[in-house]
Amino acid sequence: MNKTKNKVRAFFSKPANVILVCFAVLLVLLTLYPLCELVHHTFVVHATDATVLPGLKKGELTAASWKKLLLTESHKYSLINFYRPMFNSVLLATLSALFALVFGGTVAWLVTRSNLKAKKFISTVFIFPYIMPSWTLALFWLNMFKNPGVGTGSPGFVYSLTGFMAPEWFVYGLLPMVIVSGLHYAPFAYIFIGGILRNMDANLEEAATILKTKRTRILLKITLPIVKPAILSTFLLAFASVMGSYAVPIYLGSPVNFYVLTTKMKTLQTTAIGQAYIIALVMVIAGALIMMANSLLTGTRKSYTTVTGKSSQISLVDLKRGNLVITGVLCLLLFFVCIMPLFSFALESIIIKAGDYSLSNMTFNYWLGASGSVSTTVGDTGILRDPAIWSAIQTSLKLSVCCALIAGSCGVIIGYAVVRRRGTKLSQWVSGLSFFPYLIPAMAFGAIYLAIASSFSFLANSFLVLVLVGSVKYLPFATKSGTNAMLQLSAEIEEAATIFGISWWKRMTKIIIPIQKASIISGFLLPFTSCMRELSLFVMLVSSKTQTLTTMLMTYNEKGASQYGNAINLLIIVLVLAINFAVNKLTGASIDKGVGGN
Amino acid sequence: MRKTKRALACMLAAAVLASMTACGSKEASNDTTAAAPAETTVAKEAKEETTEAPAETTEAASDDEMTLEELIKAAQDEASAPGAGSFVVYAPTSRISKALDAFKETYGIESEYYNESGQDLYTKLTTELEAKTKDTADVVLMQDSYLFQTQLVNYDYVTNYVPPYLADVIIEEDQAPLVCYYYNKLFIYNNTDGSEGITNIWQLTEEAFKGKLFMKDISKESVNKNFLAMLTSDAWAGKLADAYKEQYGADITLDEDCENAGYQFIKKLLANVTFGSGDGDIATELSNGLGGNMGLFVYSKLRDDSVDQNKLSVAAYNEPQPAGFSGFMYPMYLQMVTSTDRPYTSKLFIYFLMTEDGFKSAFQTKAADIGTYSTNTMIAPLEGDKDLAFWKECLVSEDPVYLPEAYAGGVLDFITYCTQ
Repeated sequence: MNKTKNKVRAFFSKPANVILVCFAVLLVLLTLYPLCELVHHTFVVHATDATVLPGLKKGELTAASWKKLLLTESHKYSLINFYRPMFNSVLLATLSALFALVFGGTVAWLVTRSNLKAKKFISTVFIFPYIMPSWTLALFWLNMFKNPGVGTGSPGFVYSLTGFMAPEWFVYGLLPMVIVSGLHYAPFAYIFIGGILRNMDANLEEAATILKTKRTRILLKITLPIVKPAILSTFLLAFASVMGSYAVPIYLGSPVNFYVLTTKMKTLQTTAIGQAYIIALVMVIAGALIMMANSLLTGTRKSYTTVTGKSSQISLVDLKRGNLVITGVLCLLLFFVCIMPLFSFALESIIIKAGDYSLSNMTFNYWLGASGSVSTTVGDTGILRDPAIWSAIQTSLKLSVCCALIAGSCGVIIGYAVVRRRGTKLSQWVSGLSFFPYLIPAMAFGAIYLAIASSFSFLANSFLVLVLVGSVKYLPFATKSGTNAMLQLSAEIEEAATIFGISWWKRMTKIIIPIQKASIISGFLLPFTSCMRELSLFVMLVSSKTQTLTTMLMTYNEKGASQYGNAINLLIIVLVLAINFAVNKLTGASIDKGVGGN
Repeated sequence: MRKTKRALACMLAAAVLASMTACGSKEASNDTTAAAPAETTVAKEAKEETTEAPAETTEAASDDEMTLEELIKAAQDEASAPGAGSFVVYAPTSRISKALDAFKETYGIESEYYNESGQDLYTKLTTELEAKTKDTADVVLMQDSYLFQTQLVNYDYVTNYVPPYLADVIIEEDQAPLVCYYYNKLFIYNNTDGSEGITNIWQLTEEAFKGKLFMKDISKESVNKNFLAMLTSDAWAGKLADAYKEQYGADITLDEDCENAGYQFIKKLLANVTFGSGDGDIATELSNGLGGNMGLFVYSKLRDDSVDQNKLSVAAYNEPQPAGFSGFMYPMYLQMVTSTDRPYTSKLFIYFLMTEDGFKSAFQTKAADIGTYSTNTMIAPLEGDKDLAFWKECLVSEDPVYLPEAYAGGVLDFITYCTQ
């Protein structure tokens, strides 16, 4: 008896264990519970299901939804509503994630490991696509390439300028979806892979160089294995994100009848919500499978400490004559996909009739106009004069800051504990659990939290529930960055302090956090940015007092007030950039250092 | 690893059990309160609801003796009563905020709103009502007759209230349940190539319109699905069969999977349709695009600044009108939430929104606000627009009794099948 008591006492004497146990409990409540609810919902008859599943009453438990979605042959129901969209989703997510990996990874390598020019510009603008809501890139694509040969035949930018008629498969369908989604998530690859490359211990490469190993062999045998964990986690994040994205397929897919799981989920939501929940569950399972593959491939024993106290010099690869060409092409490309959309949003927010770019067709009234100066189906004042917009700006900022602080702090603590207890089952479990929220599609996540919030009067329609759901949903980013920051930090540094009998609290605040300050603060920026542009997660949880910029944006877009939509879009991007810039100047942290830190 | 798995499995199982028992008890309490409707089938319920409607209005009749002044007084007392919850309106349009501002100006009563245009509005409302959340909606403005019927009316979540002071001027067939106003979506075409639109709705199904017909994705807006589902009703299938005969001079021959002319029409129509992301986009694109293209979108978009309206024509205004129909319309139901803690404020607000001042404060604020039609006959349509009677004549309208029947019969499976 005493022995167990002592064992327990010894276990809990280590702060890392206490942290792990606390978060294990918390995460089970916050992520496993919603997951169980999701499973439960697939077996319950909802009001909508009761109509299409004859003979069943609301609230009954049944497997009819499963049967209907997976095993109905009439009208090719299962094929059209489940199997084909699932195939499309997996195809789209895999290709997009690969595209993001290759593009982001290459740029990351070029920036950290070669003597490429204009690194600062490339590094700064590369993350722009992630800040923009993904569908705005889709819209940008359409505005660029639409032409008289496809759809309504209204001319786009490229056609107006050059007369080039892009074929339909280039304007709509799989290819543009892969490119747009890939571009949107390429910053993941850039941040995660770049972070590791930047801080990689150069000794290994140097040793190889001394032994006269060829460049390609170094790349294949040393560099790639070291970044392998980052490659896999990037793939996972991008894959799960694309699986859950709804807007891009709507803009680029539905005009050519290319349906994915999310578009089917949205359709079924109104008529058979039980089946919509099944689709959500399938998406979670797909993500979980990738996650399991990830942890199998990465293994548990590999760890690369990079902040050791030993100094090392990374030798940059000389691109020689190719340098200017590569720099030029890259800059041009980034200008096109990262900067052009901003101009396009600015321009579209001041023109009155779409497609007419003459000065007489421009006005600042959508931004600044007094009441009655413009005529749209939703409003008649400039957005900066609308008090609702100002209150939405406040809510969005407050919400994103709160979520970033909570998720970021938890991420650091979880990261610390996970790394210190690395290899133990508890540690694996917590690290896996903290990833789960990301796999649950935002739409389903929001719906489940709505149900939870409705049962607690202090949560219902409150700001608190938005903070809660945002913090949980973006915890994976923070944990990822916290874990990586701690992985780089050699345990010796903390052990030295432990030997001197310095308390855990002091070790954290005086040693660990200061050393990895930039990296830790950077870890706060990813949740912040994601929160600023999140829509589907919050859409059912806001009230008239807690409208966010994105929920306003959605209202304007739904009603086709594109000038307002573009204006708010630009506003969001500018706000995020301004805050990232301010944080960068004040602390030296930046979103592209999120997982690297130096 | 294996141990972790086992532990995880145990936790999961425990959590599933816990949530199931929790839900079980919830159901039990639900059953006792809503036992009666649960016994009958849905379709029956729907019919019962409509016959019950007059009974509901008798509740309003008991307030008949209350004069408007007394109602205003009672509502204001509610607002100033100690511990009064906030007065909240849920609506699918952000315009509701203007009505609430005007309401406050007129009666000095504060209020809040939530707006979302799709299924999310229903999900939020029903989840909150089920959980008996305190600060949920008191009054709702709802579109989509099918969802309204199957998610709210069938479970008595809403109560019909017709302000007695306006009972004479509100169109009678729109009183139970009370419709605040209608929106319409019309066939509108690009006339820049001298195109004169269509004379018969079946022309849209011909090869010439392949890829030249645009409407919003049915996954994004459920009223579009309802419109298609309504075409399979006996009445509309009959009209479509007549129109077919008029166009081709012979009786329609049905494909094997088409029960009536409505199904046949949907099948051929959807083969020509290209889905767009939103009505606004479609309107703008259509005006910038090629001549002869046809769109189906809300009429009000025609007066949006970004749309070149000279290039677009409304099929319904052609002489003669297209045989069959010229588009569709859908009602906005205005209802009091049954469990409201502010009943008098709710009634006063419903009254306010049905008056000319209330309606115009939000839905007809300027000359460009065409395409919104109050059921209050005293409110005239805007210049250049037609009145409700004109549109009811030439548009397909939702039937809250037929729609649940159609969906139960699998019409949606058929529609989805045709979109492939």
